[in-house]
Amino acid sequence: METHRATHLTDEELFGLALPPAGEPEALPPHVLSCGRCGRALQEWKAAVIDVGEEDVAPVNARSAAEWRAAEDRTLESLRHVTPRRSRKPIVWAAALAAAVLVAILIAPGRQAPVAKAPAAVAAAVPSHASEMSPQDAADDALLRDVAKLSRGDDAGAWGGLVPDPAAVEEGRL
Amino acid sequence: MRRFLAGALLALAAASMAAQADMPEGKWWKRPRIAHEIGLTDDQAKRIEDIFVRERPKLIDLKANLEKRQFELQTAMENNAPRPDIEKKLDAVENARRDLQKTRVLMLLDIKNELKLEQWEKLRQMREDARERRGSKGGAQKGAFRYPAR
Repeated sequence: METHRATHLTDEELFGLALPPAGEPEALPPHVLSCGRCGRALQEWKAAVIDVGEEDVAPVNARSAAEWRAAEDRTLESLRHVTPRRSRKPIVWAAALAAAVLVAILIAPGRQAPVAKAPAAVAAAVPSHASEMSPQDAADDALLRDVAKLSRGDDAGAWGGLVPDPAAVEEGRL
Repeated sequence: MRRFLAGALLALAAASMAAQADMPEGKWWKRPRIAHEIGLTDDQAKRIEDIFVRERPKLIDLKANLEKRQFELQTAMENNAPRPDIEKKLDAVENARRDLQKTRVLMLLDIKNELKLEQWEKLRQMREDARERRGSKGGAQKGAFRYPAR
């Protein structure tokens, strides 16, 4: 950071870059491209110029050098009283983050990480279609599936470990 | 009288087997796609829901009872309990399973009675289609009904 300090752009230079003379392409100094501080400052200047400038484009293009200087002074003066836009950024980011978390929470129930469950509950994992139900209906759905498996005896009972599961043997799991 | 009872039980058993075989698992009447497919009316869905809500506490209790008995049996087996003890616990598990099964099947029959014949047939057909699709894909779990993909 110290190495950049000597070459940071002044307010006037930034203003010139933020509002280049009409017809001239904006040529950014190499320092602005490599210095985050000046880059951000330039963006703020550009935004401030847009906020502050209320005149039409045509009169702006027709300004004399003196008018440009007067406009510059007015803009600088306005900027000194304008709350830096940078302070708004955390709010924007916080809002975006909150929205992302909300979306993640809404999506999460369908793809929860596996947790330890009772055997019957494991056997009757709720399908993704449960997402089209209310939480209560999804719970009922899981209950009914559990009940179906338990009552059919599909669950691995306490005696399940006494003999190998033929299907598992065939599939080479044992 | 005994013959009548035996016949009634046999009929119930047969009906229950049919109901179990054809009824999709889970709360299918709350799945818009299935409800739409078989033309389930709001009124029917409500009556089916009422049947389920009426039976839900019983199902929860019986399911919990079965799981407890299973746990007791498992513990006894892990602790190398005497054979008679394990036999008793095994009986308890199977009795609990039977009670749960009975409640479930009777509920399914009540639900089936709320459907028209053509609705029932469509439901069966949907399940059959799903089975075939599952069979062609292979690797599906035994007895696990899957609803058609949207």
